[in-house]
Amino acid sequence: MSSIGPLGVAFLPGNGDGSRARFDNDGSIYRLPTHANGQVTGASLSSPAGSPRAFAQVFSGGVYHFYLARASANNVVEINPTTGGIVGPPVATINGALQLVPFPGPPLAP
Amino acid sequence: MTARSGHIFVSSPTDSKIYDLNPFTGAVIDFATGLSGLDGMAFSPDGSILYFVDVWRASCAGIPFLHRPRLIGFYVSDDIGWDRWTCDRSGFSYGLSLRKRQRRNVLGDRASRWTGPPAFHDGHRHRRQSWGLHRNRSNCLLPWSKRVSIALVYADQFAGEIMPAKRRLFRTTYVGYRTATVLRNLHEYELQWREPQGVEAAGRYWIPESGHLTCWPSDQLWNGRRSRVRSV
Repeated sequence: MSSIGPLGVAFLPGNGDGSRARFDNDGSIYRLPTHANGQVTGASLSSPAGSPRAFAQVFSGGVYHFYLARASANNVVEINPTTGGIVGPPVATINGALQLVPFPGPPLAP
Repeated sequence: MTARSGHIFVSSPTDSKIYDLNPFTGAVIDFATGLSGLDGMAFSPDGSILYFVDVWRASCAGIPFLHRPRLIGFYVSDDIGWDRWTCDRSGFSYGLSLRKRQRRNVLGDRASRWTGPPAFHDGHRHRRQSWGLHRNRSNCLLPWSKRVSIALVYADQFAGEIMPAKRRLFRTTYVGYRTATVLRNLHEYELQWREPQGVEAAGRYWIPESGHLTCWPSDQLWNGRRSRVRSV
């Protein structure tokens, strides 16, 4: 793990313990199936190029779509949450894309 | 749902802009411009304000979603010894907690209709993890807790702390390293801090110059238009 990061966190649906994908700036996306400590080793899904930064997830059409900002690639891409791979061409070209937040904001607690 | 539901807001320090991206069409428009040092962002739970971090000024500020020319600004500095250029307040998020009553966002949608990332349901178990906030730059989501209502927090990369930027109805004594309680409204910038080592365990004090929360005039950012600070 590098000295800073993780730079983004997203949550995978269908798991009561809040399984999450996590990105670190050493260039990898990790899938952490539980909240236990020390899961990084062996949890890497992919290592997308382009200085990946933040995650965002949007619920649409009955599924979550996961997006990733890539700062040096100057774009936002969709990520396959299973493989960590980039889905299709970039969603948009944005210089130095860094942080992503979906609208509306987070839901209030149930 | 609103025309912007499902959109993603993207901070670009390179362009000093926040963009409004429709990820399904790829359409990108400017949401805010002239914002240097952009990094982390967070929407308020009702969707009315987009908060952002300015790492150059070591500051946090918010933009009312429907009234963008008006900027809610506040300057945050908790250590007078830090250089602004090295003080990094980057991750930024709202913490969530027990709210029985549903609220509607600014455009009339029930906030609960959005099925976003799950809140944490087992409270204290997640506190220690805090999503690896030591020296990180990610958004941090305050753990679910019955004792915390709404807290706007940011990750301090250099101190490795979760710091409260603003909160309402805050009744707990734990958020990361230090805690603060809003005694009145944001207008008045009066916080109560309690040091975990017991330095100030006996009482409260107003944030002194070494740790203050003051109004940040919007003139620097919004072409001379004055800000009107308000609570949410």
